[in-house]
Amino acid sequence: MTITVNFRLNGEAVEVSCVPDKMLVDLIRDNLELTGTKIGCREGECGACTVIMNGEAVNSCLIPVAKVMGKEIQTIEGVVDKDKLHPIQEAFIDKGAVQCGFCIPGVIMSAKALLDKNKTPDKDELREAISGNICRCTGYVKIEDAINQASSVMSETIVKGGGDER
Amino acid sequence: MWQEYIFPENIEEAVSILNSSKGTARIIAGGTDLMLDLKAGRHEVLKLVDLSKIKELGKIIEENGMIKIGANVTCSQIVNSDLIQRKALALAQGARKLGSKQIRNMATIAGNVVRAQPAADTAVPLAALGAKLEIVSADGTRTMDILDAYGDSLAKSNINSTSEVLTFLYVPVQEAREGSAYVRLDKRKALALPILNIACKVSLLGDTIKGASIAMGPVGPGPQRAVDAENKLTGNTISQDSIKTAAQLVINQCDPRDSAVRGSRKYRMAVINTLAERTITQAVACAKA
Amino acid sequence: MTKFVGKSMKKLDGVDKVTGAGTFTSDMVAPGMLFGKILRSPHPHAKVLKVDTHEAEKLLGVKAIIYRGNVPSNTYNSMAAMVMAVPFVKPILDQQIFSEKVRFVGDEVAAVAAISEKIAEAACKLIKVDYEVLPAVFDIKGAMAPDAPEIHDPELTPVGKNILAEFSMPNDAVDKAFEDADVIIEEEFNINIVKHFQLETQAALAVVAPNGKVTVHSTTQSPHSAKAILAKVFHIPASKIRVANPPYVGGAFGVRAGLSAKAEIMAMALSMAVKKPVRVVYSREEDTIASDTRHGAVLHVKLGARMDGKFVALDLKGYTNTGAYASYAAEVQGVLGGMMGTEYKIPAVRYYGHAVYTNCTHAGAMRGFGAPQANFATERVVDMMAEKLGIDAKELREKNIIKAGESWPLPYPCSSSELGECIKRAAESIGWERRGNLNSDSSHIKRGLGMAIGTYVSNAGPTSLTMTMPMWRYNLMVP
Repeated sequence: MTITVNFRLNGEAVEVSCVPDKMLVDLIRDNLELTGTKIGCREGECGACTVIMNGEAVNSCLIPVAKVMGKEIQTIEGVVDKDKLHPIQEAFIDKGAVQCGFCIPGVIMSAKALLDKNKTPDKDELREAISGNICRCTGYVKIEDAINQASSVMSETIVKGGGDER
Repeated sequence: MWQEYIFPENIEEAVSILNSSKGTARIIAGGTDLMLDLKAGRHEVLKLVDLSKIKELGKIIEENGMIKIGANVTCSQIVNSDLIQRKALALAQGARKLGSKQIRNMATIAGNVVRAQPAADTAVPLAALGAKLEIVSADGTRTMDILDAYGDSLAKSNINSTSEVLTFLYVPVQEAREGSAYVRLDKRKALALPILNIACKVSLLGDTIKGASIAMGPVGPGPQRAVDAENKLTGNTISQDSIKTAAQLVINQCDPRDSAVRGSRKYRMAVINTLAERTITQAVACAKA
Repeated sequence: MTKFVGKSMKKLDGVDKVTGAGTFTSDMVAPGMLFGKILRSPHPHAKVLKVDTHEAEKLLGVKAIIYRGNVPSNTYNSMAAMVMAVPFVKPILDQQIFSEKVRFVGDEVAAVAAISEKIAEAACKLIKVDYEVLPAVFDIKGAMAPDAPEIHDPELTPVGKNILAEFSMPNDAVDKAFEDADVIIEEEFNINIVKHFQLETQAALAVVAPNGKVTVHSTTQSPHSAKAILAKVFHIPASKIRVANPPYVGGAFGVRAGLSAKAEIMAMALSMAVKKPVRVVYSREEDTIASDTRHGAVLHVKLGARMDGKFVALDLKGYTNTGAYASYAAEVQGVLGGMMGTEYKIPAVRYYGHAVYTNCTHAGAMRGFGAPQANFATERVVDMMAEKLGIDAKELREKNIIKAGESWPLPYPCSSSELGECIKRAAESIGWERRGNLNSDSSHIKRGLGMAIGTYVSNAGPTSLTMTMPMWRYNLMVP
């Protein structure tokens, strides 16, 4: 048996057919060959597979593909704007928040889900937003610094009416 | 793990599919527990029945002194609901502690109840708040008290997801001079099961506690009501002493195991009265506010 | 004046990693690639009497099945220790691709290459294994007891029951020194097993070309030693093997300082059997139960000092739980013994340690490699000594830390040390002077301040310990 799912992925309409009991993370990585989203545990305990679905951060390893029908999915590959890095991505590099890199796509998606809704989170909101993402390398401090930098860049941009004014 | 994934248009259709599938079809809510259970071989299933297309199940509304919460409502929706924050605070506090943000964005409180873990972060507050459940099956609709949803062994639900649907949860509205609170003891602030959790609802009359309900987990198969402590509080003047005295009695209804994940019985029996004291104090503060 | 030194530079791999464009092993695909899954023992200790693959072979999509009967049986050590042991030490070779016994829950019994992971997993479930279950032991003391089950061939454990390595720094002066001590602190500590939980699980993609050349991409931390080990495991010239990272590796912390558990071996063996690329990716559960852990330990430590706070003797007995296979058992013992007390100037120091087999998951390198265990034991008794003597814990340390030019248990003098300055600045930055005055009696929340110092080795392998000195000798006995 196959299932056909229609949804929007990184801004584009997509249609994929696959076995009905496939998880979203495998659809993204295997069928659509977008390997930026990682698998760390397959139990929803590490957040490496985090993507954004209809504006909310979710663990794609626990989502059966059928649930994706008609939804908007964003993966790490959809964060960059053509050749321009997103302020979150710039900040992660600037602040030294990246080491081995395996947790990073998931962390960035959790951060983006937060900042897209709330450009100026307080410390508790920031920490809550990434508390479902495990990093074994950095100790989280620089990740927090990076999200704070992204927050000030993103809120600055709004106030100044858009455009790159860093 | 399954062969068909179905989105019924309404509750009747959902029930009909379950009924005709004779145990081979199962409701999937958010799926965050079910996917793990299926992978571990806890169930065998041919069809999954997803209720998300049924719009009426996605709402939180106040109706006849009750808050009516649909089966599709996620923990995140509960956390963000102004109505729940104001009129069923302990539930919002509990929902906020479940899993992680990613999990809360998918997991439903209905699924949390049906999964029947003894310290489920939404079930313990629901028990303290006196929630009622509406269950629909081929035999019709019935209502049950949330505590009756738990069987007498660990993680055994009296709601059968292969033949019936938990459609709505009804939570009595927190009136004026009523308050609730939820307290959780855990090793980490996220992605951690509770070592202990307690929820409390109080109603005040002047300076006395007119009524109290306290639910605790994991100290038995399902959320346990601390009836001795509740009785001790009722009719008494509010004071830190009376709260403390009542809190000492919660252990009477506690029977925790030794658990590698949850902590030893000895430790948990030793600390639960302190947690109870904090929970009751916070519930009283909420009632006075 | 300088273009780069002293400036903040952007990480070269930053863009790859923040865009998700960076390739890790499980992201790699090759044309015609198959997926490998491993069948693991549910028993902690058992003889493998029979492996029947007939049912599994019939499953559609299964392309190859390996088990003890159709792979090389050369013994090896999965870690760089195998090819980098220092000259007077012989590496402990106690692993095989599939052994005649399973020695921990998760030990490999067979593996399948199939057109999907799902089919490979289903095929593993169809493999029938006859086990003769044996008694198992999980703790150090129990494993050394006379009636403990013999986990490996006794030839590997000449020192005693399940003791695969003994490391000692003997020193007869220690007993006399304790007699002269005014105060003695003696304690035993149990250190738990710890796991790395690096975000990326063990993985390898192996491609065996028709001419026999092998290319392996994996999560290894050490492609060169991985290559050398694989050559020995499969008994083929190292020149025919190329091991590379994809380029990125999702963390390690020591869990793959050599091979990535059995990922490279399984991928390579399956690829050889089926003549197609094979990718093996460990699940999180497999990574947890079937790749190296940190050594749990029982540490018996004794510190002697004079009333004025001067340390006179330190004696440590360190028993490490190396689990089912050796890995870095001997080296961790060496570092444990070498690092104990090297921060302090102590006239009489002695170490005696055993690496012990148990039926736990095999232990190996993890961040610190014996030093955390040693430093923990020493620092705990230093604190206890401070309390006993009534001397401030910082002051007691400052009184005893090694200074440049002084000798210590290692076979060369301490040529430089800024430890004193470190202690001073650290203490200042946390407000050490507040210690003891942080709490009011009424508060039920109490606060404390503490400090500990640590030390570790830094070197390029093959490493030190090649000299002997008159006062201390190094004995490392391995089979």
